Amino acid sequence: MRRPELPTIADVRADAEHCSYNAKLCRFACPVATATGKESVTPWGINRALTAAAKAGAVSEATAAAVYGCTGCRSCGSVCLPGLDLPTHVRAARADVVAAGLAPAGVERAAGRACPPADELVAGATPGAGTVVYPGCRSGDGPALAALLRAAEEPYDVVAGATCCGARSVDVGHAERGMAEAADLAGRLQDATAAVVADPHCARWLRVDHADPRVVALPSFLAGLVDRLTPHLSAPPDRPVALHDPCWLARGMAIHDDPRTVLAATGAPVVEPPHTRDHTGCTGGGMGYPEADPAGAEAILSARADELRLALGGAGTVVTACPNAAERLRGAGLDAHDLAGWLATRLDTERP
Amino acid sequence: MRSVDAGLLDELTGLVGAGQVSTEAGELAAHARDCWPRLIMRERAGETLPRPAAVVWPTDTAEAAAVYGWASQRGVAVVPFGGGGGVVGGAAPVEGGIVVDTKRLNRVLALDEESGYVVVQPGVVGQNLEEWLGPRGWTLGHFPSSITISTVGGFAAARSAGQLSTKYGSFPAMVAGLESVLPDGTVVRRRAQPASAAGPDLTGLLLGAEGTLGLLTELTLRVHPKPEAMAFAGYQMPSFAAGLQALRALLRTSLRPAVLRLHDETETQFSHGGDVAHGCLFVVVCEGWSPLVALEAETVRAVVAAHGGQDLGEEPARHWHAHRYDVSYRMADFIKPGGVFGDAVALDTCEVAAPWGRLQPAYEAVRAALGAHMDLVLCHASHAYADGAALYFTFGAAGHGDEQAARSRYDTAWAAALDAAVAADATITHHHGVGLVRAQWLAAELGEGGMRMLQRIKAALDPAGVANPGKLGLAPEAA
Repeated sequence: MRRPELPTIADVRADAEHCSYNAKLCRFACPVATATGKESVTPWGINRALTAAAKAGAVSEATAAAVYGCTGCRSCGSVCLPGLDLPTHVRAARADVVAAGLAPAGVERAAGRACPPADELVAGATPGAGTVVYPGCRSGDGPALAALLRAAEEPYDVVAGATCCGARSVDVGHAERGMAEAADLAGRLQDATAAVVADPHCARWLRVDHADPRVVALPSFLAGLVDRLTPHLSAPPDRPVALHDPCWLARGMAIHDDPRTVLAATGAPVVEPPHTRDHTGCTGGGMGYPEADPAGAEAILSARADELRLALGGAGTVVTACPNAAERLRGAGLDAHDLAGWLATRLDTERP
Repeated sequence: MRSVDAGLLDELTGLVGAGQVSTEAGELAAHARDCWPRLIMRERAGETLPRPAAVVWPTDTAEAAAVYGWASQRGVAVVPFGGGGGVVGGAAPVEGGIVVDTKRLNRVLALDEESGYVVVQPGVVGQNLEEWLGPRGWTLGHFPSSITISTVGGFAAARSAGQLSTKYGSFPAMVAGLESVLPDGTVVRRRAQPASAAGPDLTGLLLGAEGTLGLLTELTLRVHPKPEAMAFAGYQMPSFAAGLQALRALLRTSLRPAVLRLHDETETQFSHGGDVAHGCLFVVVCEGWSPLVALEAETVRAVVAAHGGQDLGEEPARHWHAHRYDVSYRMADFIKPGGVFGDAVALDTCEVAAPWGRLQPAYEAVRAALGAHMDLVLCHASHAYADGAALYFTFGAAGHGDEQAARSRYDTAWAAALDAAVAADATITHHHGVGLVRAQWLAAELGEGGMRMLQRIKAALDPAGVANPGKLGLAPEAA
């Protein structure tokens, strides 16, 4: 049984139909439309398919083909005058597509997975502390985060056991599973005064979709610790650092300055790629798109990686604030790091 | 035209590879129309529009040539499709066949900063090109309201003009060279030159052909240094006629402010009534080299004052500039079922142009023709030249839920407007092109000899008649 707060096709139909009578004006911003050249996966095409499904009272293979052509990057939303939220439309339709057995093969691989926190995080935790860290299922930077929290002398607790927030399950159409995962996590966060969430995708899901004001995205949390971390940082790096704003952080939560505050504290020479902040580029890795269309996802990644190389002028480091984006950019041959992991490398272990 | 069966689809797939051909239902439906409002109205009424049998995405000129050569041999109609932002039905596959989508021909190939050329493939979206050029210090200067959806190939195919055309020229003025695949698969290259007297202008022949003479596969475009300064001004003119006289006087100075946008009385009240109590709003934006911008702004001020204009300050122009693409986002508000004017609304735009000497009569004639059939007619002049200007009409009618009646009024209004334009010796289109909506009027525009010449060129280059059938009135089809 889906939770009533998760929108259905009927809930988003009016917005989808409105879009289908407009003129694809967000096409230039859509990474999937740009990479594939397809009309059916422009936000207009997706909303046309969704409107057709609503009128027909059933989803079809055409619905499935359209609604899995989205990375959830919200580039379209950043230029959409009516302010439509395409990922919400896509999630609504995908739930029905999965229920109808029409989802593309393999997309369930992108669903969330329950993961325990890193041992280092658990070891440094203060049981009962109000600040609770939720590292998510994608980050391998648990030890780095533990080192940063230790250096800042910040007491924290950690979500115990193997958990998943449910966002990625809902993304790919496994709505019931995602909502159950979210409910389980909510129970584990019950006593927290602040929930520090490492993955911006999870943070957006919990803070915006679940309207939980306690949720703090990790870059914002680290920005608040800068004064305590700065004495522990080593000399500024020589190589330029390009910041890749993650879609779910920059557009999903309008957080632009906090990762820059953290980078500035290290003294790193920061360069901005052409598409940055609210207009940041997509790496093609969201909402199961790589599983649905590997070639399209690869083309999106390649374009963004080229843009970052151009910004760096050849050699340099890419720092982002999304474990998924960092992993994809590394796969494209860049020296890319998630913010916490990179910041931890700047800790001067010789200092007290 | 021959219908595309499984055997032909296999042949097509063999030419370019399976990943570059789609027969998915959603993809075919999404390529069934461009943004011509009449086709949107038909879909709104529940009609299923003619669909292509397949969509193919060539990735280089050789593939495009192979597809066209194959289609010509097999008698399969080929409709080129860029962003689908055209508003005249130019990309609608009225005879089925296949659609050649240019959006995987979407690379910027080179920037020649010494000559001021950028070499692009036709599937590059206008806004993406500006975003590529901007950080490198350049601009194309082509800013149609469809810039975020439409492609450079579409600009060339329709002889588009942007909002800053008074300074930068319309799109043909930006094309220094091109490469095109003719309908039989022959590749033609015209090297970029500043000017040439080497025989007839073959580049000009292919611009505005709307896909009836093949597919543009590469364009060398003139670019400009990004403007170092901008100036904004708004004026209230006593009347549209006085405003047109001021426009003409300004163009006579040889200065070319980027935006000279004069709204008629009705459009002023409809769109800017809160800012301008009466008369006509005149929006001016100057941009470019600082001393020239200062001179242009001062000259505009003096000329406008001499024609009875009242200075409204910068705000009207700044507001227009900040919201210059918003109107395209408002289409759905009006045309969707249950829009702000109810169901079955008819809505479109029609742009014509005429020399100064015939411009005011042309304005009055076309406005009256549309007004006889529509509930609302708005107009502005927004592309000015030394010898004349364009008139851009927006018209609409409430349909009260009757789709058939709405379409009938729409068709009657279009026919009346184009008849009036022809009678007033105005050109039937300034920058949207002919497509299907004006197909029946092109002969009147070109004259008997001109139309015959076009038909002979078409027959010589496309003997099988496969290239975008039904467009330019070359093989009339109902739409």
